[in-house]
Amino acid sequence: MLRFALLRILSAIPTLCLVVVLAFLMVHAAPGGPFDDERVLPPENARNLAAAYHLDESLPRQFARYVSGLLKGDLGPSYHYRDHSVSELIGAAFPLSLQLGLLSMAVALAVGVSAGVLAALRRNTISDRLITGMAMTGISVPVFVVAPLFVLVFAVELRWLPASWSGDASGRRFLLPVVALALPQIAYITRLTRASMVETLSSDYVRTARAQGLSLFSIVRFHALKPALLPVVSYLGPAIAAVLTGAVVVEIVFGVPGLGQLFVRSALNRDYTLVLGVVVFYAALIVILNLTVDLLYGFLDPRTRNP
Amino acid sequence: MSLLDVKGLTVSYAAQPVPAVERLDLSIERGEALGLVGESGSGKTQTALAIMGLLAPSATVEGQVLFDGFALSGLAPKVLNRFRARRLAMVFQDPQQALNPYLKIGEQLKRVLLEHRIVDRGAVRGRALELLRRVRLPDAERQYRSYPHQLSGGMRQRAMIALALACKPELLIADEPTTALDVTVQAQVLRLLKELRAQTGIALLLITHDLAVVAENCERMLVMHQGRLLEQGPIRTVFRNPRQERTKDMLAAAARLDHTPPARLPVSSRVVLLVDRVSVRFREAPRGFKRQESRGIVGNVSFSLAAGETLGIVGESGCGKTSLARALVGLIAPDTGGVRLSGEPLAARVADRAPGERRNLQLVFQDPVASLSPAMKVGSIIAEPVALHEPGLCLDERNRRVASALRRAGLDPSLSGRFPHELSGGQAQRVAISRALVLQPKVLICDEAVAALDGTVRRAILDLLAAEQRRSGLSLVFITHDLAVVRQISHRVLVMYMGGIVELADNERLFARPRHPYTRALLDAVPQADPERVLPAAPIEGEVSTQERPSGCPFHPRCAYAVVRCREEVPALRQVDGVDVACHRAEELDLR
Amino acid sequence: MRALATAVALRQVTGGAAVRVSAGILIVITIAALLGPSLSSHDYFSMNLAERFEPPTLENARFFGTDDLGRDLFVRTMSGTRVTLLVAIVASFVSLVLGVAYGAVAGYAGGKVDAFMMRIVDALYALPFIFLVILLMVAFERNFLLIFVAIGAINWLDMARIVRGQTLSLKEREFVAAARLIGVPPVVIVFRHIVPNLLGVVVVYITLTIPQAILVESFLSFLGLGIQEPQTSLGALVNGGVSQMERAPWLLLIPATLLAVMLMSFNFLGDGLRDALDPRLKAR
Repeated sequence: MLRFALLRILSAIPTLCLVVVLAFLMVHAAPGGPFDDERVLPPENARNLAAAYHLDESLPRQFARYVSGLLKGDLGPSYHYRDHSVSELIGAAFPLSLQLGLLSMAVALAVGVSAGVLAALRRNTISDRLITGMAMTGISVPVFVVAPLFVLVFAVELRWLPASWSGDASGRRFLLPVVALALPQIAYITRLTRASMVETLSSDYVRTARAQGLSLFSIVRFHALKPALLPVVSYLGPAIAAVLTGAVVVEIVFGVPGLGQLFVRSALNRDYTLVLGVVVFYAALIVILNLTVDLLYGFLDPRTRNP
Repeated sequence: MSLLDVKGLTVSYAAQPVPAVERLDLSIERGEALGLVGESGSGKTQTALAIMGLLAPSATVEGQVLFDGFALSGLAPKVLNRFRARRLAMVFQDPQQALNPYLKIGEQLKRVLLEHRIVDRGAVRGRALELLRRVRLPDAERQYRSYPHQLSGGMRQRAMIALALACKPELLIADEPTTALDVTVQAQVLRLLKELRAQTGIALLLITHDLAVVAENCERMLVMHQGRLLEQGPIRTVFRNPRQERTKDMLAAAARLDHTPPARLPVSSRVVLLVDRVSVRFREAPRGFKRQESRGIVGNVSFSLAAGETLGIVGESGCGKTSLARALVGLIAPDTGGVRLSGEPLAARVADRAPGERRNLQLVFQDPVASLSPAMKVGSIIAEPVALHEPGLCLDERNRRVASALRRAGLDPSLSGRFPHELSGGQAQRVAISRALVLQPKVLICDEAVAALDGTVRRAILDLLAAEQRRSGLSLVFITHDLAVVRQISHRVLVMYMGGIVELADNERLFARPRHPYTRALLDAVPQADPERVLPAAPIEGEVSTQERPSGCPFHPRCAYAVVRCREEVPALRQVDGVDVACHRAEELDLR
Repeated sequence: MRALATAVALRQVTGGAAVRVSAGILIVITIAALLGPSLSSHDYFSMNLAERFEPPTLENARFFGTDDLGRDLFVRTMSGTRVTLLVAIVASFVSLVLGVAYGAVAGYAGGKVDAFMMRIVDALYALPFIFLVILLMVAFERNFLLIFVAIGAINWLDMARIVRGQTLSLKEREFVAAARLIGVPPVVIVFRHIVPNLLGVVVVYITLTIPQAILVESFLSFLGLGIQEPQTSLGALVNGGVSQMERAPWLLLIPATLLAVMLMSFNFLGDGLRDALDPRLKAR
């Protein structure tokens, strides 16, 4: 097991390096400079500005400079928000996105797994079809339709919950964004859990458990639940990535000042260091989270734990 | 009142036109062992599942299943659960799949014991360990803490038996319990079942396709065919006087080592295949969590094959016979040694060999359907080698070759339009053989080519190969674990154990007087379809070691005749009385 | 192609209702999208401020009503559906070609080549593609072609992984060994023996990536980076509808329902195909 863990961790490092290189190249491949949108400057000022931001250096040198800064935790200055560094801006925006993301995942897992297990146990009955139908709808209706609908129904018409972030300082303002973000994940996890549980329940070892006279509850609790949930564990990696993406929409609709919103604005502002910083940050996050999920999966599978 | 009484059992599925089981009557008395035999698809497993109430919800069940007078069919699961494990239990075919890979053996045992309140929490561990010891698992404590994948095949099956007997049921249903096991391990498990029956008086419903197993382990037998009862009666009666034609066929195809094999063609003196000190080491790629390991799979094997000869290679799991076959054919490159075909050395890898060499040495695999490309029609599959090796042929001529190859394999040429998954096992294997033979090779290697087939189909395929040999002087290397098959068809027999040759002898000599203790153990362990047979003394213990290779002679830990020298020195293969044998004590032992 | 033919034949035999209904729905929608506009005298871009916000009605062929600029919603919806389908299919095709080629090569080559190629895939996987797409769309001024490429670039990774996995397991099967024994050259093995057996999985996967592609395009429209006016897509229509939700609900409901139905049909189709293909091909 230890070997497995070490090797996985070691293999994540070159992946991270590759990620940084690719992101850097892609950002720099975009045409147009970061200052193009602003007033046209006299050539000398333009040159000074470029020199101050090291934009006149060759690409490899810029890259080397970037990486050395990276290792120190410095992601460079923001072009648009001149008084702030990228790290500062990310640091201010990220915690909110993190809260949103974690809450959504927690809700998605709790609801999705329960619904999936229930549907699997009541296979082909009305409850199953209902749950499956709702799950199917959940993945077929985009977040940017659901979110505004929620606002319309719950905030404007019923006035139960606040419509936007800044309008309310209480915890209730989390409710709509979290649910909107969680919905597609709930749908996906429900489907995944159901399929996995159905497959586990038709496995040979569950048949043995039935031959042993175990009650359905015992079978699910002791024999089927853990194997059935393993695919859900390995789905967590891609799920997190999906939540991060969906967060962009939710943040914009509800006006949450999170990282997703920051990114879109920075792209529109051509604030390339900020863009690069957010991309690298997210990528690193995803690599680390995927690694954690992999290790978790390896731990749960007895074949890797005790070869 | 019988312990189990099944009347008019019918199991049908909406998707299938013919019922899986039709109007079956079956009964078992207390303490009795009933053998339920039939070929694959005959409905035996469906019957067992119906008795236990384990059929899929899509199955329609009619008829009555009475256990000790209680009607089991139609009971609610909650009530049925009071019967399961406590009064009737079941052991399944493949313990690898039938045991939960995510739970330790001990946990699975505990769950059954606690669920049925056999003991309370405090005593459950003790009882579980006791059960594990009862099934003769060495080091019960360790097995208790282990996961199924850490146990060998035989140990897993013993664990399954322990699970089944945990609540002291009166009836044990065993569905092909030993089919997936090596012959020597099978003998151990069957003997265990006999002992347990003697100790507890439990009744046994033994389901198998192997008539030999039934002959040695049951008192009565019931033969099924296509879902219906074909014949039943006491073992001796059915064996001596079968009433149905089909039963007679099945008996004729069943394994008996004492039947004199048909006369074999004389073998020429021309050596067509020479294997010279071939060894294969298995290098595990350093993947993630494993060091690079190098294990000897095949060590220093040499033998020759004459034109028109059939050489049978036997051995159990871990003996290296499949790796040897792949090395001969060039699918894997041997680490040392080489192969010569008609005197010319062959390149180590098949990709490096000349087309002329490739076509002369062909291989037939164990799983017929898997060896045929699922997306290609039969005609294309057989045409492919022809197109490659004789590109000059026009389309018509090629089709003619394909049709004649199919006919020679006993198939109708109209089958060339079908896909592999539309064929039966026997048909698919004929196609595979036909593909191998279409280029008229000199040597054909069959790697467990009939292991996956039913008795009567198996017979037909062997006849086909014999006919081909008569017609063209083909040489055969027949690799199998089935000694009865080897007895029927081989000129010479080669026995392998843990990568090396332990004995190489003429067919008659090997079976009449084996020279190596392992050969003797194999012969003793093979079940035979002869109810009169006096069973030999206890089968050998243990299984092939997968961990460390024993020092000296690899067989010595399990050998009844081992002496100190056997532990220290590796025996060389040498000639004793016209037989090649690798045993220090070959001259002095009389293993008849 | 044979595997596909077999797959189609199998589907007809086992054919879950879900598969047939979904396929039927999609065919109807496609035909409607292609022929629908000819039923109406209106076009998708003419504005008529006098007829703004008209609810759906049969007169004047305003089957779906008009939007905030007086444009006919029916024709716009049909036109948008065409665009959405086109984007999705082209993008999926791009990811198919890339994914299958990359995956089959990596899988068959094995060893170091495979490890290296997969490491690149891992790295690309980690990149939050959506963000890069946004960046590229901003930088390259919303190039129509770029949308296809961008969406295709997101999906090909999954396809490559799946194809590689399948290739690896197919490579070990006996029929490939048999082909090597006969002396079939590796290239022929890949194309005659391996790829046809991949088609089943690939077809299933395509029906599941198409919805993803549609959603990505809609997402881009949401951010204002998608198809440019006066051209429209279902996603753009839905976005437009959201802002008019209270005043003219049909502007949201009609395209949103159509979008949801399409997505659901693709998903059901994919599920059904997956059920029909896999167990059968393995069972015998």
